[in-house]
Amino acid sequence: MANVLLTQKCVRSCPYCFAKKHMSSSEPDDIIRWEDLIYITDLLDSSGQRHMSLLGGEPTLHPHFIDFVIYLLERNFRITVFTSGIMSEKMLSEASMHLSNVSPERLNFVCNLNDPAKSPFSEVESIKKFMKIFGHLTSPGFNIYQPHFEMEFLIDYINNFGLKRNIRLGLAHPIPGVKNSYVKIDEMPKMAERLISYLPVLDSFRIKPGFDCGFPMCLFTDEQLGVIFKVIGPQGMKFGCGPAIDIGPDMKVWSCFPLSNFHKKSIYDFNSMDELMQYYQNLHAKIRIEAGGLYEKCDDCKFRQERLCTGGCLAHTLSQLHDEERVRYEEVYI
Amino acid sequence: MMQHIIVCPFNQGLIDRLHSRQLVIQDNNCDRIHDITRVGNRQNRIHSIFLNLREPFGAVPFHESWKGIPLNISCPEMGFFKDVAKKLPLIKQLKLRVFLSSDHKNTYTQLRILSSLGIPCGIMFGELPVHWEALNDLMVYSVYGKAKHASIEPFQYIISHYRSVGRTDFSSVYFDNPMQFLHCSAEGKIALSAKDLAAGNFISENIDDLDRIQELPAFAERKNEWQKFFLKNSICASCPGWRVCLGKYAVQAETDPGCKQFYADTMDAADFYRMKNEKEQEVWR
Amino acid sequence: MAVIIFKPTEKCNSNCIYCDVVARKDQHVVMSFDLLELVFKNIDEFLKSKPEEKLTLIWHGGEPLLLGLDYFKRALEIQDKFCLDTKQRIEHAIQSNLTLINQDFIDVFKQMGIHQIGTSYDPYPHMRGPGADRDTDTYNKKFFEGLNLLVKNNFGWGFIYVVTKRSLENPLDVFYLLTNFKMSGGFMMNPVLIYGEDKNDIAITPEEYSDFLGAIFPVWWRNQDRFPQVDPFKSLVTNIRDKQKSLGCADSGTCAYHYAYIGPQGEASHCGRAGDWQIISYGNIKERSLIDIYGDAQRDALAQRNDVLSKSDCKDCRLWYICHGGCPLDAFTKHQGFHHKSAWCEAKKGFIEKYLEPITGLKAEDHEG
Repeated sequence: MANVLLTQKCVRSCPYCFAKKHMSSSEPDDIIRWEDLIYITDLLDSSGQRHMSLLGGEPTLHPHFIDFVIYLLERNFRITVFTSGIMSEKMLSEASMHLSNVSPERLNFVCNLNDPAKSPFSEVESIKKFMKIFGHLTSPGFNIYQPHFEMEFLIDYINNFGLKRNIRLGLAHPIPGVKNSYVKIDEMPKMAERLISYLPVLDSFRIKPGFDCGFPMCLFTDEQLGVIFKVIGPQGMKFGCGPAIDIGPDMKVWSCFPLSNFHKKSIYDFNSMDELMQYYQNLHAKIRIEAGGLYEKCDDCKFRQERLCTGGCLAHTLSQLHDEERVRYEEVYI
Repeated sequence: MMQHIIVCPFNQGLIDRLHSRQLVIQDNNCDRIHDITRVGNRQNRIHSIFLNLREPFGAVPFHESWKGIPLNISCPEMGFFKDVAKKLPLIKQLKLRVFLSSDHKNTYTQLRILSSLGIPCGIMFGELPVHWEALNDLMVYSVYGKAKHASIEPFQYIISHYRSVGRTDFSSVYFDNPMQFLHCSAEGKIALSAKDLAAGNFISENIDDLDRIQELPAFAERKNEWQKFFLKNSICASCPGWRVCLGKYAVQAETDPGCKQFYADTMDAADFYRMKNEKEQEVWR
Repeated sequence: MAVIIFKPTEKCNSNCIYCDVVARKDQHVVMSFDLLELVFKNIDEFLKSKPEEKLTLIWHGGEPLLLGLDYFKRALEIQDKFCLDTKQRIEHAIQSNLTLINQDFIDVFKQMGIHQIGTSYDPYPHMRGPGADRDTDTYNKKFFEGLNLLVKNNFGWGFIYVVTKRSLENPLDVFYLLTNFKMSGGFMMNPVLIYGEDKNDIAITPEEYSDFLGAIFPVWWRNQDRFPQVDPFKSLVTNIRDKQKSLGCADSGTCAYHYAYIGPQGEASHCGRAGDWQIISYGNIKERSLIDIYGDAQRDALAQRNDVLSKSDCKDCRLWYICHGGCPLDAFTKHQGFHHKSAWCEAKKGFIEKYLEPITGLKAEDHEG
C-alpha cells in the first residue's frame, strides 16, 4: 500500500498537522502528473499490491482528482482518500455524479474531523454537505493532540450522516524542527484516561475506534488494556509504528509525514514496492537499535522484543534526540 | 510473389473491381462501418477499416455490433477521460486500435492512460514538430513498463519486427510501407504511399497492374530509396538510429536532431526486448 | 592453400585517392590470351605436383571488369582445356569496384564458381571516382547499381574501408555510416598504406589509427549483435577471448610460402602490394614455372622472419601470437629489409592495451605457449 500525495496545498490549518513541515518546504502548486500516477500504479501493480491511499494537502483540490479515482478503479485498485471533506460545490457535484455509487469495498474516504465547535462555520457546512453524499463511504478520523479532548461530535456525525461505524484514532506527534500541537509524554496518561472513558460510549453506539500508528502500549494500564480489548478487539489493538510510505508529487518517497525530510529518496531508486518498504523497514530497525522508543524502559521492554509494541512513534523518539550531542549512529539524527 | 494489401477509400465501384485481395478501407464516418464491412468482404477480405475521425476518442459512438470488425481509428485527441471510462467495458471487447495525433499537446499522456487501461493505441505523427523527449518517455513506458499494458504503436511494431542487422520500416503501422501496401484512388490509380496518392504521383494508372507492380522499375527504385541517403552523404546515413528511422525525419534533422537520440534509444529498447524474449524462451525449453 | 593475386590488367576506371596502382603504374597493358593460357598451364602443373593442394585465383586490378566479359569467358574455356584434372581445386575470387558489373558478368561469375565479390567503399566526396576531381556522385551511383545487382542475384559481398586522415574527424560517424550501409557486417577498416611520398595528404600514423579504432570500439563492443563481422574488432576478440586463430596474412607469420602475384605482363611477385610497390620479384611466368615461383629462395628470408623477430624486435612481446611482427612489406618500407617488425605493430598494441583490454576486461595471452 502507498500513500500518494496528489497535491501539496491544504484547505485547513489544523494545529496538530504532521504534514506541516513537509508542506512548508514544498511548492504549493506542486501536483502529481498523470504520468507519475500511472508509474506509481504500475509499481504497485507489478509488486502485487492493489491498494492506494490518496492524500495531500487536500487531494480533492487536484484538477484530475475524479479522473484519477475512476482510473484507479478501472485498474482494479481499492482506494482510500484522506480528505478534509471541504470542497467546492462544483467538485462535490461532480464527485457525486461519478463516485457516489462506487462500492464501499472499492472506495473509502477517511475524513479527519475537528471539533465543529472550534472550527469555522463554512468549514463545518462544507463537511456536512460532503457527508450527506458520501457518508456511506466515509470513515471518520480523529487526531488527539491534547490530553483533554471531546469526541461526542464524532458520534453525532456518524449517526446523522451514516458514516462507517469506525474511527481512525491518531495520536499527534511532534514533528522534528516544527512547532505543532501534540500530546507530551508526561500528558499521555491523562490522555489515555480520557480515551478509555469514551470507549463504553462508543461501544454503546456500536462504534469501533482503531489506533493509528504511534500509540505505545505502556500508555495504558492492564485494566485499560482489558477495556480496549473488549471494545476494540485484538485487531484494533495496534501499538506499532512502521514505514507508511508516502510518495510526493515530485516522486520523492519517505517513511511517513513526520519524517518527511528524513532519508528522503526518489521512487526511481527502487524496482518494486517491496524493495522500497524493505529499505525503510531496515532503516527503522537500525535506528530502533540505537533509540528503542519513547521511554528508556523501551530498550529492555519484553513487549517490544515480542513485537507487540514498537515503543511509540519513531518521529517522537527521534525528536527527543534532536538536541543531544551526536554520539550515536548518524542515521538517528534528523 | 507477395500480394500487396490494398489501401483504398470506401468506394463500392472500386472495391467491386478488386478480387481476393486484402483491403484497408479508409473512411471518416463510423456510421458506415457495417456497409464497409459488407462491401469489403464480398469479394475480398478486410484487413482493417481505417477511420479518420474529427471527434475525440471519448465521443466516438462505439457499438456492440462493432465486435469482431478490425478497426483502426484516428482521433485528434482522447477527449474527456470520464467519457472514455464509461465506454471502457465495450471498447475492450472491440478489435480496435486508436491513434491520437502528435499535434495535440496531451497526446503522449493520453496514450499512456489508454495503454495502461488495456486499449491498444498509437501515435499518429502530424504536421507539428515532434516532441522527442515526450515521445522517448512514452517509448520507455511502452517497452520497459513493468505492469501489463496494451501495445503502443509504432513502438510495438519496431520491437517485434526489429532485426539487429536489418532495416525496420514502421510505416507499415500506418499502412504506408510500399513493400506491403499499395494505395488506390477511387479511379483505380495506384500509388506507393499515401503521400504519393495525395500528390497524384502514381506508379500506374491501371488497376490491372496491381499484380505486376513489383516488376515495374519505379517499384525497384522505391525499394532502394534508402540508398539516396548514402549517395547524398546525408546526416541520416551516419545516424545510430538509422535502421529504424530510415530517414523519415531527414528534413527536420538538419535543424532539430532530436530524432537521433530517440531512435538510438528505440534500437536499444528493441535489443532489450529481443534479448528478454530469448531468455524467456530458454527458460521454457 | 595457395593464393595468387592475379592482375591481368591494372587499368582502372577510378582514381581512388589511396590507390597505389593508380599512383604508380602504366595501366594500359592487358594480359594476352597466350599468356593467360600459360598461367593456367602453370596452375595445372603446380596442382598436379601437389595433389592435396588447392589454389585460389583472386582477380584483381585496377578494375578487373575492364577486361570485358569475353575475357572471363575465354579464361573459363582456357581453364577447361588446360586444367581438366585440376580445375576442381581452383577457386576463383574477385575484387571489383562494382561500377561496371551487369547481369552478364554475374552469369559468368556463377559459372566460375564465384558467388561473392570483395569491394571497397568510401562515403566521402572526392575520395573515389573518375577524373582528377574524383567524381564521387557518378561513381557511387554506379556502385549502388552494381550492389543492387549483387543483391538481386543473392551474391555475397564485403568491403574494405580505408582509414585516411579524412576519417579521423568523426570516427563514430564513419562507423555508423559503414554499418548502416551494410548492416549484416562483413567489412574491414584498414589504415591507408603509403609507399613513398604522401602526395594527397591522407596518411595517418599508427597512433592515429589506434585512436580511430578506440573511438569506435566501445560502441561495437556493447552492440555486437548489431554490428557483426566488423574487423579488426571481430578477429581480435576471436583471437583473444575465444582463443581461436583468426589471423590475416599480415599477422599470421605464415605468408612466406602461400602467396604469389602475377601481373599483366607475367611479372611475378609475392603478393598484391609487393607487386604494386615492386618490392620483391620472383621473375616472370614466361620464364619460370609457378612451382619455381612458389619455391623461390627469397621466400626463405620471409620464413626466417618469425625466428629472427622472436629473438629481436618482438622478443617477449605478449602480442606476438596475434601479430608475428606484422606485414614484412611494412618492415621493408621503413628498414629496407624484412627482418624487422612493422611500424603498424604499435597501432595494434596501442589499440589492445589502451582500448580493447580495459573496455572488455579481456587479457591477450599467448595460449600457444
